[in-house]
Amino acid sequence: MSRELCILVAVLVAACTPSRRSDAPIPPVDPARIKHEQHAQIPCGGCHRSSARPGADDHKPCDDGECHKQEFLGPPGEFCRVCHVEVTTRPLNAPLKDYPIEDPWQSLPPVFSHRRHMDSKLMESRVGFHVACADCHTRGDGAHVRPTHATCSRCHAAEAALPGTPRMQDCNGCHQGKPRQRTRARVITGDLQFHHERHRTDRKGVAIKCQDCHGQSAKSDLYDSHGPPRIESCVGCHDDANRVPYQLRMRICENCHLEKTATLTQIAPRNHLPATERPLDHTLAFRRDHAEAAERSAARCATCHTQMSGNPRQACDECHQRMLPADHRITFRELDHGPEAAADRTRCATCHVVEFCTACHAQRPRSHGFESTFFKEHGRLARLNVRSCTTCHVENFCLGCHAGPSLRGGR
Amino acid sequence: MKRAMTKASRGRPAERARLRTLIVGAVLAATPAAAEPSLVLTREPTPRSLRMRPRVLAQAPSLPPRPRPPMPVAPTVSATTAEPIEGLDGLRDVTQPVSFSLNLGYQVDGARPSGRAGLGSPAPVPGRDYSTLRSYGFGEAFLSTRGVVYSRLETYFALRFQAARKIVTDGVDATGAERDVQVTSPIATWFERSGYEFRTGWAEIKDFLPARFGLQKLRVRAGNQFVYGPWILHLDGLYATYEGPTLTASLYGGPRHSDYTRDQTERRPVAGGGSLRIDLRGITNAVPIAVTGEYLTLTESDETGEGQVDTELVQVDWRPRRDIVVIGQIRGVNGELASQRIELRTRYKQVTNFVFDVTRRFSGDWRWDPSLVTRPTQDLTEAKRYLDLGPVLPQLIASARAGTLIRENIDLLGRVAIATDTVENDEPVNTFSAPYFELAGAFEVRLRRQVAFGFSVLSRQTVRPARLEGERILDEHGPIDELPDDSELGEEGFTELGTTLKMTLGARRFSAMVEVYGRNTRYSILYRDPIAPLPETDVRGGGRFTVDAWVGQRIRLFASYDVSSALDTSPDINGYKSLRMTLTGIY
Repeated sequence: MSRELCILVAVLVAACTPSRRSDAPIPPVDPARIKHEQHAQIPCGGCHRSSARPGADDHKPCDDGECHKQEFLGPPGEFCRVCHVEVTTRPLNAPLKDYPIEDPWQSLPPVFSHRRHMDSKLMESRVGFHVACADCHTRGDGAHVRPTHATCSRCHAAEAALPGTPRMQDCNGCHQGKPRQRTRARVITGDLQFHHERHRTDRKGVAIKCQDCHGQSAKSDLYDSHGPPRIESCVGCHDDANRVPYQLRMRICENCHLEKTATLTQIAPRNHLPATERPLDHTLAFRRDHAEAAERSAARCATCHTQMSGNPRQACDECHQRMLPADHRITFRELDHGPEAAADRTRCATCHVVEFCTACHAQRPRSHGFESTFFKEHGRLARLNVRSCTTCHVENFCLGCHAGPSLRGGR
Repeated sequence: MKRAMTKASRGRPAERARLRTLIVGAVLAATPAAAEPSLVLTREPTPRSLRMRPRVLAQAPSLPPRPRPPMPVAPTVSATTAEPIEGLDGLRDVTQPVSFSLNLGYQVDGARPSGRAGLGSPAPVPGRDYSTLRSYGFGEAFLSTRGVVYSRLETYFALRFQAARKIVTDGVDATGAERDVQVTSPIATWFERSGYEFRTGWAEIKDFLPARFGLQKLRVRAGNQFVYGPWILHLDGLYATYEGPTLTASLYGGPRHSDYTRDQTERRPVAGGGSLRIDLRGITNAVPIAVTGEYLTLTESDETGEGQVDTELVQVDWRPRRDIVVIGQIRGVNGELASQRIELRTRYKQVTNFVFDVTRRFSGDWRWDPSLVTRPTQDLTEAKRYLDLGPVLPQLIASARAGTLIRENIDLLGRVAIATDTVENDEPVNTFSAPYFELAGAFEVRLRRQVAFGFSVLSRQTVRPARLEGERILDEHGPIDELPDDSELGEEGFTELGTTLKMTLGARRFSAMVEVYGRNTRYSILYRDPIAPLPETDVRGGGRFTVDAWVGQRIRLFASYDVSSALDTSPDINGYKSLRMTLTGIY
């Protein structure tokens, strides 16, 4: 039996587990790429003279005499691959690589703390004002953008002269460390679609704040710890009739996913379910062991379990006096609760005081019939399970007839 | 000609290069080279959103923030914070001053006769031997208030009432006089009676004293209430507690409130007790330990004949990490060690739980609760007025439970338990304290967004003295047979399987569930009857169908139909049936 059960569970788990997607290995750093550590003796501004790519001005300043003049005077070769995709004899047609380069490796990643920049008190004490998300992430035309150097320069340029802040000239003020893998959290991946411009206001015109979704940004000190928005923040609005029309509810997968969910492995996970659904942590195990969670936040229970007071103290009875465990079926009530009480009486005592048991066990059971024939004919039933008699009758009651040491077996 | 063209074409780039060099040289000569590289950035026009927010503006009153709705994972709703919840479908706002819920229901229980005789009686006559149907109405009302009349006051009332039709027939009493005799119910439960009872009704006041000496942390609750100490105590009395970050102390007392019966209204035992908890985490996180001491005394009970019972409990709660808890507990009854328990709880990522606990009980422990510890001598013919599971035997029970959620759709639970007695040779063994081994598991898989399938198994194998075929008691029809030893009585083991299929359009919209289960019980065979052999196993099953529908956000309709298969132990009926319907209104 147990073997078949194991096989069944294994088959189900296997069926529900998607074929493992092999994550594409991260490509190595482009070997032709310029190596900052080899240029450490040159000030940053020696190459990065403007926001344009170094060398954009007819290879300046790379072809300076003390640097790479010889390479530029010579025939095109591998050196060209630092900036060009391919080497060609037609220099004006040689395609350029992207700049900034869009690969998984970041040469000199900036040290940027959202937490510090969004700490209003800290900002006011340091520089006298504070900023909001839109100050850096919104372009003049209102489009959402990733900040550039020009964005930073509004405050960090020398002209701004804000005390206690790194200046744009001091590249090391932000760009520290070694090349490392980009950790930019890409949330909109796969078949997911999202449009910031459609999320400016809710259906009633109330502005949707950035932190409604990007609440974790204000806590991050590095890009590494800059978490993506939680799906629960989507659910919170998309299940709220006051904020989102019915057509955009969470339960309509196609609102966000371009591909229709069709297979077993693409069921909407529980965290996509609305707040009115069973919470994520209400698992089968939670049904059995929820005492600590309930003690910690009884008010949370009361939002759904409406018979509760919401008072956080001494509130277990408000549920336990009313809700039944899943195994309390009709056969449990009539027949099977005895072995359970014998094996784990503390479980019963969580809800039931002894009078609850007595209220039934003091009644004459149906099996005893109306007439007193049971007195003579109880043997057959008793022989099947004598304990069913001794649950209500004291032992001496039986010995009244089954008396005498000779009739009493065992010790 | 071809060579000439080639030569000419070679000459042109050279001229161009020379010309370019001259131009560049002239430009360079005209423009002085920068001595130091300068970082000149193209400044973007100041966006209209960039406002240098001065301190004054930052402190200017702004529009009240829109409250975030509670998320399924960890709603931040708290009764102690004034964060309102608005515009949230279906969820109740616990911060509302008044919350009310009324539940009205009707239940019908039935057991249809099969026409066959029972194991201990002839074929019953419906209406005389028992009632085929039993119906009753019931209701529950819940009312909680917060800050009504007085801002520091909270109240909670839970009332239960029911109306059952008594089914009687003509009969005679012991003196031969004719009188109405109540017909036995098809299903024996306590729902036979009519009336109402206040299940809970308390008023609590807090933060009402001045802050001096920390008195604002005092909380007093009075009325019919439950108190969670060494035992879950239901009393009509007073509960006062001081809750500080390090020290929590409470005192309580009052007559015990009896549930489901009014037998104890004449002279109820009085319960009193207190607790003291020192949580070192309130001082330093380096020692994450809390120590709790509890005391409970219950005066003499006329009902059980039990004298005064004193219970002491000491508990140490160690939390080395946020999701790891180790609890050690010792309980004493009347000065003797009654039980020891150690429990380990861990949690990982909210949905993976592991619980391991070991409990050791001693013979001085409660039989059921503090109202029953040592049962006095009884009348020879007395039926047990209180459920008596016999004297407690020294026992060691270890159990482990683990559960997790895979891919947020496959819910798994596993459980294993083992119990063994630590009885000395001269101590009698009780049928209710037999050693056992238990294995249980369950899983639930969501097949579609609205459909989930579940499966559960529970098997408990009990260790009892076994009788070989030849050692079994010969069942002689007529004479009174020998009684076996108490420890031999009972089931040897059972296995229960169950499946569920759930469909939901939203937990507070519409959901339905079908459940089918079966159970195979093996009893210890103590008798042999060559003429009419008894079955060695009892196989039975059942099913349940529930529907839960919401009309708007305030009205809930619930119906449940429970049915069992035919029962080997009750061949006189075709099984049990029960229909329960409720209508709930929420304010």
